[in-house]
Amino acid sequence: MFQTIRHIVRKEFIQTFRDKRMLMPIFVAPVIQLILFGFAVTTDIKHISLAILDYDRSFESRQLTSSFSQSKTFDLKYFLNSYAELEEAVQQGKAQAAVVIPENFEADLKKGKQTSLQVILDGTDANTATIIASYISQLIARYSENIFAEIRGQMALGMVIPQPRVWYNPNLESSVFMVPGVICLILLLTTLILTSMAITKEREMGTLEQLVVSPIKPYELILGKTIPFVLIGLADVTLIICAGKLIFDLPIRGSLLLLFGVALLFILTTLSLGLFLSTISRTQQQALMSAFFFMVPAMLLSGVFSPIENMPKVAQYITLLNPLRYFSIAVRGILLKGNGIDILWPQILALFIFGIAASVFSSLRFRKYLE
Amino acid sequence: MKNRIIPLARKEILHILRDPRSLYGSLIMPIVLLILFGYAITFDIKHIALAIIDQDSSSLSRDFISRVEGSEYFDLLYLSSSSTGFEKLLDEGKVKIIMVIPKNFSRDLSKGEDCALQLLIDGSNNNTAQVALGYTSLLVQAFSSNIILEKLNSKGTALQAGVPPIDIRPSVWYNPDLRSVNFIVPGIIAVVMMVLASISSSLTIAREWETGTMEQLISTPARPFEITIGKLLPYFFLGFIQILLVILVGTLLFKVPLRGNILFLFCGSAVFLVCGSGIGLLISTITRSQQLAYMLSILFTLLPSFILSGFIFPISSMPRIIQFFTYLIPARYFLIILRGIFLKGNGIVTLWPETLALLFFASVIVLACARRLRLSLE
Amino acid sequence: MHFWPLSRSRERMDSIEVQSLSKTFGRFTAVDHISFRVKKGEIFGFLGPNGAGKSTTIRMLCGIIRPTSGEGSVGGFSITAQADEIKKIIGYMSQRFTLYQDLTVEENVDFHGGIHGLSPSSAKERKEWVLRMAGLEGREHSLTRELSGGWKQRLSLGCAILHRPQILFLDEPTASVDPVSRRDFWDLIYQLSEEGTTVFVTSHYMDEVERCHRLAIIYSGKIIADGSPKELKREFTGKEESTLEDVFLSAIKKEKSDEK
Repeated sequence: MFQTIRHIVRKEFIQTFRDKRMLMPIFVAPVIQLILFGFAVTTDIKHISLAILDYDRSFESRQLTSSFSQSKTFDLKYFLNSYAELEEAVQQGKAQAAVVIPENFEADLKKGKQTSLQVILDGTDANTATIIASYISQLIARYSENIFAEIRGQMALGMVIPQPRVWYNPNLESSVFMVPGVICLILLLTTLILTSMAITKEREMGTLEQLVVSPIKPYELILGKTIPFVLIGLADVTLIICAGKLIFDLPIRGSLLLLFGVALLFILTTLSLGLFLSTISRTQQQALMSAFFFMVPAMLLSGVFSPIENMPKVAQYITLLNPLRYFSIAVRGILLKGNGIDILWPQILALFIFGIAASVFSSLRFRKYLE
Repeated sequence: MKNRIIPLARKEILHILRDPRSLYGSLIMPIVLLILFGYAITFDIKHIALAIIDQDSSSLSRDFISRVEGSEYFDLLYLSSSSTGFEKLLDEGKVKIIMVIPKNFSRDLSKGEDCALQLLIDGSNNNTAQVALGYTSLLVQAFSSNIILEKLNSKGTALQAGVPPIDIRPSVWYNPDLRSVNFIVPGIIAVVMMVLASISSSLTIAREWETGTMEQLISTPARPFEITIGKLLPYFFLGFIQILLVILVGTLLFKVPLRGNILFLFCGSAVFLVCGSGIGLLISTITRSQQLAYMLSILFTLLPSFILSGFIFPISSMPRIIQFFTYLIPARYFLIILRGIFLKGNGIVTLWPETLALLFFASVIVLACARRLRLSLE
Repeated sequence: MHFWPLSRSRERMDSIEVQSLSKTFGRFTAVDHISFRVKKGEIFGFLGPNGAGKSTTIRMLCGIIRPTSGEGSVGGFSITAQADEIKKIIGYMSQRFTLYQDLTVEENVDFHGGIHGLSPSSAKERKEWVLRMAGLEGREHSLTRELSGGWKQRLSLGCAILHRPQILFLDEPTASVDPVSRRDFWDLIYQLSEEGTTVFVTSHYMDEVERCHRLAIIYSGKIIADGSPKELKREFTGKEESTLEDVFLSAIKKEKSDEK
């Protein structure tokens, strides 16, 4: 039995890597994706191009302006002279936000009267606009603090100062968040796509029939065809963890053994899915489409990109059916928080159940389909 | 010559129709993405899970806590006066931030001394962490301001309701309700178009090589250029149908505004589709395996257009090197055009640089295809 | 690039002429300096084991791949310089690759007609002829993939001769087809030959190739025998009753001993 499986595995490897260029998407691409996601993907806001229309031109207004220009978040690019210029700047996309300092800014402040600052936000990018608004609020609040400082000094009032300590990711690097996510995504991508396409390709070429009429038992065929992709998947995980550590100094606080164990459970599910997809696809293109159809929502509704807690309730319930959700929680938990089985057992259990159910279901289907 | 392109195109259309799953998939996928991105994915974070340890238990600390509770920034899930076992909450992911109100909170504040509010934040999602920090500063400042106001009032000092002294009046242009859908819909068009165009083009050619029917085609009088155009033309039109679908669903169902010129939109889409199909075609000249063609397409189109085009993640926030890199990505320019047309009502007068860039890319790609096609039809 | 000198008349006696044609893939020589001629109207068989170079040769003649060296002409046109002209006058059939499985019988025929630029009236006429010849009248709307081997083969042949090519190239046309269909197939081939079509067919079925007017045996990329079945039997086994298989085996034996 093991002989047969070993031969099928060998054949699969030979076929997959016959074209040396296959090495590219299987091994090089994950690293590229890692770099892309680690560096480029950030919801962190920096260098927002900002325009200021200062009607006051006083000492106070210049102070305010300089606090904007000193901030890392904003790139103070435009000092405008008229409202028309402001409209043009925003319309043309030159400035994403604009602040209008009214005429009596300094005078009002000195008098202790409240003054209003108009803040114009380009709402085209709704997410960023919200964050920009929040940053501006914080900046203004800090500025106000200074004004208060005097009064407070006079009145001997204390101020509350937040003292943050950030756990797991002290520098708040987005790569720390993204890299574990990339591990999950790559694993899903490679195992699902490769499996479903490989089996469908044999069907397209007609060689699957030959395997069926040989004395190979169905389970030997299934194991033989899926084991190579398990190995490739695990190799990819190793690759990304190493690259992550090298390039991004990815923290590895938990047990790698546990990580690989959980990965294996996850792979069980994805391979089964790939197997299932190959039974319902006649051509590779169909297999692809079907895989895509499952993958994209799975990736988006998994917590890899955006937190599940912030999704609408309906979406949150849907994620409960998504193995990727449990896997990503586990991966982040192990790598970043050093979690062990004692904390992650719900996720592991869920993955286990998914894995068993998926593999039983698809094996049965595959069996039937072979006959 | 034209006579040969028509039977080739007709054959391709038949292939497409005989594969309903792929056809419907490519029509439904954009809509599914629209729904997901428009509603499920949000980086707008509220109701962050919070735990507070109140070691002071004074009326001032309770005041602070009720402020925090009352805001929609945080969801107060755990409140206790002892700090034992609280760190486990972070490990288990039950809360994302813990605030510790120290013992001398009200005493220090009343004496006129500053007081530290300890924060333990789960940094694994850096975005949430930063937002949480931001909210905390705002809450803290509002709280401090309020103390001052009360003190002033109790002393009868005339600092009018000018606390805080600077009031912010935000006004959001083009998208006053800050709906994500409004900025997702234009983006979806760019991303999905690029991916589907390139995947379909590369796959359809790779498939004929893999099944061997390409050889038969070559033995006929049909020229390589005719074979290629005949195969790509139907997908080109399919691309338009997809765009139309997204626009219809986006504007009618999701009420996304379309303020600019639709003709300009379609022209821009045509150029962009040429880019996408061209890239797919180039990929098919590199490999005849469908598997490899697919993976290369994903690598060179999906990832760049999704991540580096400014679709979700702002380009201005990326490291400088990567920002330079984004200039090489057609989707970046198309996205600006799309958002300009949909939300700002921009026309060619404003968008000419991006249009020029797209045309440039399209021509480069077409030229590259023409060259490689000649060389490699063996 | 060599220019094959064209004769003034297109009615050459030799439909196909090949001189020292070679094709190498990297370090592997698939076709090694072969030369032969095929007369117009002849049925010419190209016999050899798998991997001998048969398909490669046909592909070069059809303009699908370019020779590494040597010259050839098909219908008077040079295969290196005038491949486009050649494609207009030839038909190519290979069992697996001529038809699109997910198209119907009719759609496949229509497609081939369109590709070869048939006028609407002649396309219609030829389509009816092909359907009749293949026995597929009434089954125009069946999906090609649902047809059995014999029908597919006839349909493939039909599509290949739709445009009445002067020269027909058949690459292993009877692989996986039952004997009855095979015989019917060859009857068709004879008919075409009588009408003046030159037929170039490759095969590894010894008994079939008996029916060719002339044949060449290719082995390891080289032609080791060339002539009519009768001539070859006389040459290699001395007996007229021997089969081509005997001829084949003895030709190979001779080749191997010549090599030493």
